[in-house]
Parts: sequence; C-alpha cells; structure tokens
Amino acid sequence: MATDALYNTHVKLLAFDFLSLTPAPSDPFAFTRPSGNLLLTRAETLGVVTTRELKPDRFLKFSVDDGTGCIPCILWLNHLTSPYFSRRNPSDVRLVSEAATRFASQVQLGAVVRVRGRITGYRGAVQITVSDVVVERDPNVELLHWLDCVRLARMYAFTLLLMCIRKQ
Amino acid sequence: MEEGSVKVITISDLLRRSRPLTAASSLSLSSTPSIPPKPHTFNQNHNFTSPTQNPNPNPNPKTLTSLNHPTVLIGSLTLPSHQNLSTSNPTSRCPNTSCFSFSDGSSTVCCDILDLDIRVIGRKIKVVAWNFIPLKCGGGFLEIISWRFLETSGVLSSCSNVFPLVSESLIESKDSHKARYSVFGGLESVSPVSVVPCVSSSSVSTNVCGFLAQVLVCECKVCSMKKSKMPLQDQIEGKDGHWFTKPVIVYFCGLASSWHPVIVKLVGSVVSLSGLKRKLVFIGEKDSELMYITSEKTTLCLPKLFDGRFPVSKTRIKGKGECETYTGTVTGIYMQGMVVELDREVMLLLTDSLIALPHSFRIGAIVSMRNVHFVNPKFCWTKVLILGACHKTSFIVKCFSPFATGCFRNSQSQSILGKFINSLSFSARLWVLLLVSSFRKKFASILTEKEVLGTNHKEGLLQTYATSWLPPSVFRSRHGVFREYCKHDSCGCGNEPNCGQLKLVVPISHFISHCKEIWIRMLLEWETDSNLLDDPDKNSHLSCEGLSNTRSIKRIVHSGDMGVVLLGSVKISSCSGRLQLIDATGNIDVIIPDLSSDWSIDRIYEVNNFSLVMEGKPERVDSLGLHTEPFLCRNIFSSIPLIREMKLANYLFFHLEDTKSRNFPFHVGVKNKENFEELQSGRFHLLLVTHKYPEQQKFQGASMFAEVFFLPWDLLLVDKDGHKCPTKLFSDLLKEPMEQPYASRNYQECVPSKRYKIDHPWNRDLISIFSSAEYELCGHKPCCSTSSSTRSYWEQKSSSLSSPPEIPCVVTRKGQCQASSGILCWSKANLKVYSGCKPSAQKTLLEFNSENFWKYELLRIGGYYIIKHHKEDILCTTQDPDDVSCGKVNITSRTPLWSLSFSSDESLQNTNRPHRPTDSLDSTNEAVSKCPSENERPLLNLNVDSRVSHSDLHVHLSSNDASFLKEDIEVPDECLVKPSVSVKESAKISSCKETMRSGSVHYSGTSDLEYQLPEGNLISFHGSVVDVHNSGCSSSGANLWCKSHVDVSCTKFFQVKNSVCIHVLVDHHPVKIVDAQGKHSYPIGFGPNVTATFHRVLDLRGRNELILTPTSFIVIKSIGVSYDQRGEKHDNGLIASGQCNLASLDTYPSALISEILQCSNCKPVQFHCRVVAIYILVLEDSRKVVYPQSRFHSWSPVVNIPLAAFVLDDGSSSCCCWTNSDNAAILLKLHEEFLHDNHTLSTTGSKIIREDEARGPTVRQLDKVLQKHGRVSVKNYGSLFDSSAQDLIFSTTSDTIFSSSDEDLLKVVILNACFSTFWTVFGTRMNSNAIGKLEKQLMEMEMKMHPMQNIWVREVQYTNPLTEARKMAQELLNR
Repeated sequence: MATDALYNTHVKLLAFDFLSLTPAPSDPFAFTRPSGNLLLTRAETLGVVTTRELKPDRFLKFSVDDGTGCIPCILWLNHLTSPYFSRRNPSDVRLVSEAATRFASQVQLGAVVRVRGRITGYRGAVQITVSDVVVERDPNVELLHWLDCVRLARMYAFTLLLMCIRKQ
Repeated sequence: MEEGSVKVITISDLLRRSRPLTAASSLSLSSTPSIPPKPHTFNQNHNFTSPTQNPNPNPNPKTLTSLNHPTVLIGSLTLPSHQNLSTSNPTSRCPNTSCFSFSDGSSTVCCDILDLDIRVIGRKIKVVAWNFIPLKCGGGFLEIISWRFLETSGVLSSCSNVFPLVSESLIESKDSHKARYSVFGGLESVSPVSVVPCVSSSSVSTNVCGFLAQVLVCECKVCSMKKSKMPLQDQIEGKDGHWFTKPVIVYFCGLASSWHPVIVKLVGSVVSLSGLKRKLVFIGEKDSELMYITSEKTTLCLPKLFDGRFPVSKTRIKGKGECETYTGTVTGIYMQGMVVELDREVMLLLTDSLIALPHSFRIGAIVSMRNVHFVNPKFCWTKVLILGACHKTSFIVKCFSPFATGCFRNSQSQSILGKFINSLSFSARLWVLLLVSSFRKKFASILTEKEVLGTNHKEGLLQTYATSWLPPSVFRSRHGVFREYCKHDSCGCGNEPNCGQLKLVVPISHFISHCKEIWIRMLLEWETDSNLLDDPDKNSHLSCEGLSNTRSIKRIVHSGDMGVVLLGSVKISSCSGRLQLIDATGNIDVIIPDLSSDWSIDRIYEVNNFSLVMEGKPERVDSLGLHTEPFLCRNIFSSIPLIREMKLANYLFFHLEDTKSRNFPFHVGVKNKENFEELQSGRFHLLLVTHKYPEQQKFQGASMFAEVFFLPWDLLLVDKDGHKCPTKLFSDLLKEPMEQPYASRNYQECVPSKRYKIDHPWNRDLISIFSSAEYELCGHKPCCSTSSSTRSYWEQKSSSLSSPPEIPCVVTRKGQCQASSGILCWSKANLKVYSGCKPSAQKTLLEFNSENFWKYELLRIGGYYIIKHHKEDILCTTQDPDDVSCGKVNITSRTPLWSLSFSSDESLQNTNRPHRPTDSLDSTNEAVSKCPSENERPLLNLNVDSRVSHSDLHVHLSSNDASFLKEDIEVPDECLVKPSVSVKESAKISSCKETMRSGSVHYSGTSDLEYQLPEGNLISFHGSVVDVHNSGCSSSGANLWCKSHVDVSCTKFFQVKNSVCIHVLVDHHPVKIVDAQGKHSYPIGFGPNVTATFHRVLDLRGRNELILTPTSFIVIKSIGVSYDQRGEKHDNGLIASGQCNLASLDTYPSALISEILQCSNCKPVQFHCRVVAIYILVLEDSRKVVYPQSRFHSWSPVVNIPLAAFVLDDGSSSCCCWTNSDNAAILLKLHEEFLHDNHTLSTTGSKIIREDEARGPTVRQLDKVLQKHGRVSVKNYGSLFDSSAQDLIFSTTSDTIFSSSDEDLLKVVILNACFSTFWTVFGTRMNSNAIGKLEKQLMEMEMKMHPMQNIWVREVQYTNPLTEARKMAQELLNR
C-alpha cells in the first residue's frame, strides 16, 4: 500500500478534517492529514454555501459549510484570458469556461452544493480549486454525505494502518 | 465456309434443339471453353454506392451449356418490321416491337447484339460468339456477342456512316421538298413505340406507328443555319465547339419506326439526322408541339468525331424521382417482368405495358438504364432503391447473362388493376405490386384469383384495400405517350411523394420467419454482451428442488417498429385448439382480449396495431440463418428459405375492435350468419358459466366442455320499438311507472359510431351486488340458506304476488342505441315447482363440437349468457329440474349464445362497495396479488383480461328488482371457487369441498389401493407466475414431490413422465403448482411474468403444493414483459425457490471501490459513485440495431452505445467501468432530457412516454450527428481524473468530416456526464478472460486497456439519498 493510494481519488473529508490538511513535503501538489502521510490531491465536499465573493471573469470565492466547518473554495472564471490554458484546445477551454460560468451562477448563498476539485493552498490555508459543482435539491444528501465521510474515514484509517504495517 | 473444324449451325437446328446454348468459333483455339465474361457489378453515372455483395447471390447458378465444338451462325440482322403495326412482329411472333431479327434462310428469331455497328443491318454476317435461349412459345432468342462481316474488306470500306432510314425501294416520293430540315445533336432519350390511329386523305383509317426521340441540339450559328451551303458532313466535322443544350423532338414514324432498337442503342451519342420535315403535332386535346418528323428521305449519320458521349450534366441524386442512368446486374425478375431486381437491392419497375422488357434482360446480365427515375421510398420495413421506368427510359444490355436463365415476355394485361397500378407514383406502385404478391400467397386457397385481383371490369379485394391506404398525393393522371414524353417534367413522374407510411402486408409465413430472425439477432447480441462480461451465469437459472433450469426470455416488438400489417382470418386451430390468425401460408397464435360474438371465422381481419411477443429459452445460435430477411422485396415476390426450427413461442396480442388503428374486418369471405335477428324477441334462458374445461390433448378435434348453471330466470324480450331519448338519465327512466314501457327510452347517451361500452359503474356495481353478498354453501338444496333479511324480502315479495314474479328491465343490444323493454321471469322449469319457495340454479355441461369451438372461446368464467328457449330444449323437457344438473346441452351452430351484462341504478349509491374477488364478472377491480419486486420494477403489461365489456345484451334493472334478483342468480360456491386469500392456509379454505372424485371429470380409477386417487380440495386463486419449467426429472422428479404413501399412489396415477413446475407468487408467497403429466393445455402466452387465475387446482392435503388436474383451467389476466430480462435473474430465482420474498437488486452487497479491488472473487456488488471522466465511448445510430426500442434502449431511442468506459470515483478509489446500451445512456444523462421525474428511473423501468415529446434538443442533435456519421468513437487521451482536463479525440466510420460543432456537441454531452450527481452502480469486477476479450476489441480501435481496475456495470440507478443513508447508518452501526 503506497502513500499515493488515494492520490487521484476525490477524497470525502468533513470540513474539520479537511481544514487540518497540510502540504506534503514530498510532493508540491499533494496534501496530507496530520495523522499520516497519505498523499491527497483531490477532494469532494458537500454543504451549504455560506459566503460568496465574485470577481467577474476572474474567480468566484465561496465557502461550503458542511456542519463541521467551512471549506473555502475557488472557482476560476478566467479560462479565456489565463495563459495557463493557452496550450489547450481552444474549444475545450471555451466549453470548460462556459461550464464554470454556469457553476458560478448556481453557487448561491444557502444552496446545498456538491463541490469537487483539487486541494490547493492559499496563504497558508487549504482550499478546493473547483472543477465542478452540482446543486443538490434533496436535503437528505447532506446526511448521506456525513455518513459517507464517516465510512470513508474508517477506510482511510484502515489504508493508513495497512500502510504502516507493510512499512514495518 | 470456315476453315478447320468450325461448324455452321442453322437457326432451325437451334429451334429444333430448343435448349439454351452458348457457342463460339474460337473454342478450338482456346483450351478453356468460351463462356462470356462473368457478370460483375458496376455502377456508373450515379451517386449511389456500390451495393454490398451478397455472400450467396445465386443459389443455383447454372451456366449456359456450351457446344463442344466451334460453331458459327451465318445470316443477316434485320430491323423489326413495323409495316403492319396493328399486329405483332410476324416473323418471330414476338410482341416486342423493338427486337432485331436474325435470319439465316432456315428460320428467323429475335436477337440482340452487343456493341451495335449500324453497318451490320441488312448485311450477311458470321456470328462467332452467341447465346441461344429458347422462348416458350416456340421461338427463340439469339444473343450475338461477336460477329464478322462475310463480305470482303473492299465492300466494307465503301460503306459510309450515313444510313437512309427507309430503304430506297420503299420510297414513294410525294412531298419530298418539305424534308429539308436536319437535326444535329446529342440523343438524350427515346420513347417506346406507339401506334396512333390516323385518318388519311382517302378517309381510310390507318395506324401510324412511331416513336419520339429527344435530341439536344446546338444553337451555334453554323448549326442554326436553315440551309447550310456546306455538306452536312463537313458542317459537323468542321467545327468542334458545339454545346448541345436545346431540346428538339424528332418523331420517327412509319417505316422509320423500325429503327427503334437502333436509336435506343444510340442514346447518349451524337447523331445527325437530315431530310426531316417539321410539323406541329397535337400531343393532347389542346397542346401541340413542333416536331421534326422523319420522311422517306431521312438519313442518319454518326459523326466520326463525336464518337464518344456528349457531355451531360449530372444530377445530384436524392432519391426523389431524379432522372439518371443506372448500370447493374439483373439478379431477379418478378411479377411477369414488371419488377426487375438489380444488384439484389434495387428494384426496377416496368409496369407500363408500352415499356417492353428486352429479352436479353435475363438474370445475370449487366444492363444499363438511361433516364430512369431514382426513388428512395423510405419504407419503414425495408431499405430499397426504386428505379422507375417512364416513357423516356431506355434499356441497353452491356453484357449478356452467362446463365441459363429464361427470357421474359411482357404480358401486362390492361385490367382495372393494371391501370390502377400505372396511375400511381413509383413507390406506391412497388407497394401495390408487393401487395399483389402477398395477397396471392395469403389467399391462395381462400379466395379466387379474380376475387383478389379483380377482372377487366371489376375491382378486386386488393384494389379496394390498396385504395383505402394510399394517400391522394400518390395518384397521377396519365396522358399518353406523346404528352408524357414531350411534357415529361410537368407530368409528375419526376416528383415522388413520400410513401414511408405505407405498411407492408406480409404473408404469415414470412412474418414467422421474421420473428425467428429477430430472435436470433437478439440472442446473438445478447451473447456478444455476455461474452464481454464473461459471465458464466449468463443464462438466468432457476433453482427448483435442487435442479437448475434455464429461464425463458420474453421479448415484445410492437407493430409500429416493424411497419407491417397482418391480414387473415381469426380461427380456432383444429390441431391445437388455440385462437390463431390464419392465412394460406401459415398461422400464428393470437390473444384478443376483446373477442366478442361479432367475431366471425369467415371474415378477413386487418391487424395493424399489435404486439408480437416472443418467448423462448436462450440457446446457442449462429448467424447462418440470418440472411433470409423475409421483408425484403425479393422475398415477398418469391419465397423464402425456411429457418430451422427453434424453441420459440410467438404470439400476437391485439384488440380486434381497435378502430383507430384499423384492426377490423375488411372483407367478408362468406356471408356471416347473423344470429342477432334471433335476439330481437323471444324467451331466453339465463345461464352463468362456472367453469371451462381445458382442451384434452388426447381428444383433439373432439369436444370442449363448459360447466354452466342455468339460472331460474328467463329473459323475455319484445320487439324493439324504441325511440331515441338521449337526454334522459337512466336512473330517472327506471323511476317511471311500469305502464310507460322502457321501450320508448334510450337509457344511455349513445353515439352510433362509437363502440358501445358497458364497462360502466352501474354495471360493475350491480354485479358487485350480485356477488358481494356473503356466500354460504347451499349445494343442491335450494331455499335453505338464504339470509334472514333476504328471506323476509323474498317472503314479502312472494306473498304479495299471486303469480310468479316478473321483473321489468330495459334491454340494450350491442351496437344499437335504442333500448327496448324486457322482462325477467321465472323459468318454465321453476314454474312447475313454484310454491313460494326460492327457485334453484341447475348445473349443466355445455358441449361444443369442433365447429363451435369459437363459441367456447368466447365464454368467460363468471360471465352471464342467454340461450334461446326451444320447446324441445333440455330445460323445458325435463320434469324434474334436478335432473338437468346431470345433463348436457349440445351447442351447435343453431344454438347461439349471447353474453349478458347487468346494471342497476342502485349502483350509483354504492360505488364503494367492496368487491368479491372471484372470477366472476366483477373481478375488474380485484386486487390481484403482485410480486413486490414487480411493483417496484414495473413491467410492460399486456392486459389480456380486458374487462371492457362487449356483452351482446345489456339489462338494466331498478335497484329494488336488482336486490331481489341477486338472491336468485347467485351460484353455489362449489362452482365459483373463492380464491384463497392465503395459499399457505389453503388447507383451511372451506369454500371448496369438492374433491377430485366428486369433480366433474371422473378418472377411471379402480378400487385397487395402488391406484387410489389423490384427494384434496380444489381451489382457485390469482397469482403472478414467476417461472414455468419442465422438471425433466421423470421418476426422480416425481419422487421429489411424491414422498408419502398417497404421493406414491399419485405418481402411479399420473404416470409422471415429464412434469411441469409452475412457480407462482400469491400474495407474496411462493407457491408451486405441478402439472404432473406435463400435458396440460396452457393458454397462449402462459409463462413467466404472467398474472393468471388458476381455477380448480388440486390442493393436496398437508402439502404446500398444488396439482394441475386435467380439469384445471388457467385464465391469463395480464402478460408482463420486462425490458431487460437479464436484470430479473437476480431476484426471481430466489423468489421462486422460496428463499426470498422481496428480492431486488438491493440483494447485492454494497461495497467501496477500494474493497472491490481487493476482493478476490468477481461477485456482483453495488457502490455509489460519480463520473469523473470517460475513457472511451462509442455511439452509433440506433436505427442500425434490430428494433432497438424493443431491446434495452428504452431511454435513448436514437442512440445506441455498443461500448463505453467511464472513470468512476466513490471517494475510496477510482475504477474504469465498462458498459453499453442503456446503462451507458444513463451515465451520459441522455435520458434526463426524456424525463422530468427521475426518481423512479432505472434501466428496467417502464416509464412509457411518447417518443416525439421525449426527445430533447441535445438528443435530437445527437441523432443528426449519428445519422450523418453512423458511428462515432470518442477516446480520451488526457486526464482520467479531472473532467476539465480530458483530451477527447473523435473518429467516425463515415467519410464525412467530423465538424467542430459535432465535436462540441459530444464534448458537452461528456462534460455534462461528468458533472452529474451520485449513481448507484451494480457491477462485477472483470476477470482476466473478460479483460482479454475487451483488449481484443480495443485493439481493433487502436486503444489499450488502462491499468486501472475494470468493472463491468450491470445496472445503474439514481441513488435515493434517504434510503442509502439509512442503510449506511445501519452498516456503520453493525460494524
């Protein structure tokens, strides 16, 4: 069991857990939990949008409260102007940009959203750089998400345990 | 004479031999026999792609017999003689006016020549390679492949290329000065030879024979000069810049008309005609056309410089009637030469009697057609290209057929039907010709040819039928050759209306072959899918008593998907006793829920709207039998090879009186005996059918029996003299005093054209009144067990009456809106015993002989019927009414039965009365117990037991009378057995005390203990059939259920050989019914997913098993067909084996992806996940799939997804999930545009919505893209973990460019799939075998398997967050 067992997986962490992530010393793109050195790069969260700050054509910053804490999220809206995307296929960039604009319009205060993206750091704090947003209409999804996080937390712990055993 | 051993053969010798032959003078020089080159398919000058080569184009290709020595023919080629044009060619007796003749002095035959050199005409030639085909009427046909002049070269060199059209010896110089015009240009088209009646100056009527030719002339200065000073030859050859654009018409008439075969061969060449006259010719009553007319001085010149074709503009072929050239191989000639099949998929139509099919159009010949109309009819049942021949069309043979195939001689008669066909557009013509072929086969022994096709003076059945279907736009008015040729574009044959809606009338044998073919295709597709999954358990197995049985698969196809119509009589088969749709070619079982007494076995029904149900066990099939394609035009015109026998049950389901969809009788072969006249007045006995005995197989063709109770009431009807009273309410009507007879009232608002419905609340509730009372056993002792309340009513009623009571009622006959009065009175038999006591019902058997099986078929258990009273009938001749109970009434053709229904106004106040769940009439609303899983995953149900009443007579009573009557027409419960509420407690059921021995059918048992009859209660119940299978276990199977002493005896009694097990769910409880002998007559459609009522099934005491006895009768209520049978296997097996009552897909254990990956086995699991990216996606136009709607593509009718791989992530890990069809469509969210409510969605769901309103804009666009490209593959070479970083590469199978807009559309679809919510996926980890197979497939697509874990997705559903949260919480608590 390697440290990158969850490297490309969108891990589901409750906010209190997510906010404890720290940059991994071995990998500039990865983060680890204090309890172990499992490398994590992507995450998924679900909760209520509690803050929203929009810079048109640049970004939308918002935070998702899942009941255990608030996860800061950033949704970039500058695809068409950023040099980061200049090497990509223009039609792909345009479609991704259109999708981001649509997500930005859906992220409204009070909405229950499911957010997926990369785990990034900003000014020493951890956040999600959003790749997609789904607005959930059934309030039961929050309950399911919590339980899912609990179940997965056990699995992450088990993975970590396995890793330690193999290391020894 | 030829040197060496070359022989000369004479025509008369060939005629004498009368054998098809081929020969060449070069035979001795070549070691190989000189056989003309094999025909090869080539298409030129048209935009259609080359047709696919059929693997077996000609099952018996016999080449022409070759003479074993070099042989030549010496003779001369002459033009047809048109001098006496009212008669046919006298030399060859050939009606074809466009045939060359070949004569060698001994005899003359028709002939054709390849690569015609005009100099050959009239000269002596040596034919060195030829084919000879004898013609049936004594003559023969010579095909000249190569020839040489007999004359010396000096003579030949003197021949010029200018030919006088009329021989100099025949010239009668009259007005030769007028023949000063010449025409020089490209010969575009030639009309057929026609005869014009003409009155000459001497008032002697003569016929002028001739044909028209259109020449495109040049309008340059040189050509426009009326009289050129230069000789014509110089004029033509001196200038090379001609543009042939202006059309002129040349009329070759009189003697010049014999040049028709030559001119036809020159179509497409540049010709020069001089010595022409110019005249205004009337081409219609008012229209005239300036034409050039040949004279005796006319000469034809073929300019040497214009040897090739003149340039013509190519038309873009859309298949809407454009005129173009087609070249292809003749692969079939049908309908006396009216239809020629080319390249096995193109149909040339030659229906016009003037357009003669050349003799050389033999099967195997390569032919070219110029100016033929290209029509794509877009028929929904087949793909075909029609070539429509009009008066401009000309035919040339490019290569003679090497096969010994015969010549066709046109013999189109000018019957009414022929004229009718010629008045239609080309696609409609083909449809009618197919209809002719189909009708002739279907009604071969039923109707005469004249009845079907009509005569010269009378329309036949076929024309009547065709007219009823053809839209007015397909009819064209015909104007004769001249007008249609000259005004070709305005006559409409180049403008083809859409005939896609015309359905094919198929012979039933073709239909059955088609069913088999669909079945094989489905099994093959299924096998491919299963192979990919590498599922050893791909066939659903049902475990019963430790033995595994393969479950049958059921599929349903709707008529709309097939585009065919069935015609035939609806009869009871004398062999199987089943209801069938029959024509002369075959029969197919049918289920008709609304079968009523209107049904006549002599009628021919048109069934447009039906459902075809196919059911069979999955078996290994190969694709060998897949090339029959019974709906192809050639197979309709000819016959189809038989497909091997398969274990497949086919039956149709349709409503007979579905007038909207034209399921109705359209022809009455023999006058139907209307029994309804007898129903107008008289005395009728009232009876209730309590049981029907199934057909006994060993008594085939004998009698059928039904058990009935003659009720103690008779119905007296008086002649109807009613008047319409549509506004009066029925309840008001009955409140009126009896003095005002009901006859004057119409109790229901009736619309005459509307089907009369009696399934009215009044009716149902009255019946519920009759039947909802608490029944008590009364046996054969009447007047003992009536309840106190009813007794008091009865006593009150009887005491107040000095004579037997009479109940007035209002009667309405089926199909009539006028009501009449009737009286229900005591039956004659009861009158005799009338003494103030309640009369009794009398049990009787009705016997139906084979001629009256249809009456038996109409009977429904629990239904009321009336039978006309006759003085000699059994009820009225028996002194003691009790005697009748042992009697039997023979139902003959003279004893009609009419069904009866009741209603009362009381029912209006009792709408909520609970219904007695029996098999009586009121069972419409009964709650038939259903499998819970069935409720959750609904099936497509065919409601067999349609309770839309079709009773012949409807009786309405006042509420008081109804309650009075209900006591008298109730039946002893021993006959109408109550269904068990709980089969588990069936032993407690006290309603049935009848044992086998006291049953109606007696076994020939002996007193020997060994042959002791099994004893138990007969019970009836409703249930949902889970599975039916053969135990296949002979004695061992018998032993499994016959363990006790009694069981051993029953084993001997039943002589168990191959018993049948029926697993039924009754109120959620599994019940096993055993058909010990396996010979029970099951109703059509009986099988899994059927809801049925089982009547009189023997419940062996103390065992949880039931036995189907020979008296048991099964009535099917509804037939369910699931969309995906594969999904069912996970639950039904468990249900049937009694291990699980409520099994569904939830039985799969839930797991995390990371756990699946660690798990060593490949058991199916469920997990919740989201789509991250796609790895590969293949989309194709679902129209290429056989009936996609009937298969799994319920959500995306336009898109078929043969393969898709999605990267799924559940938070624990990612995996690559492979799937296809519906599951892929769901993961792509294609269905979201179909459905607003997505909560009930699952791939096995059956949400039925209209297709047109279902398709969303994206799917419509996707449809267009797939229509354009056929098949599109999308591969992701970018990130598999980030939806926005996918790098999608598109490829198509078509040559068309995949545009950026098409790319964008698919990218949006894929991105949209990645932005989805939670899915619950049911899947299995793929093992190495499956991965190996998949790798092979991917290799063909130049892709590799990703090193991710691979899971095969069996089903995808939306996740219900609440349910899942509950389950997860439970799991977490349990851990």
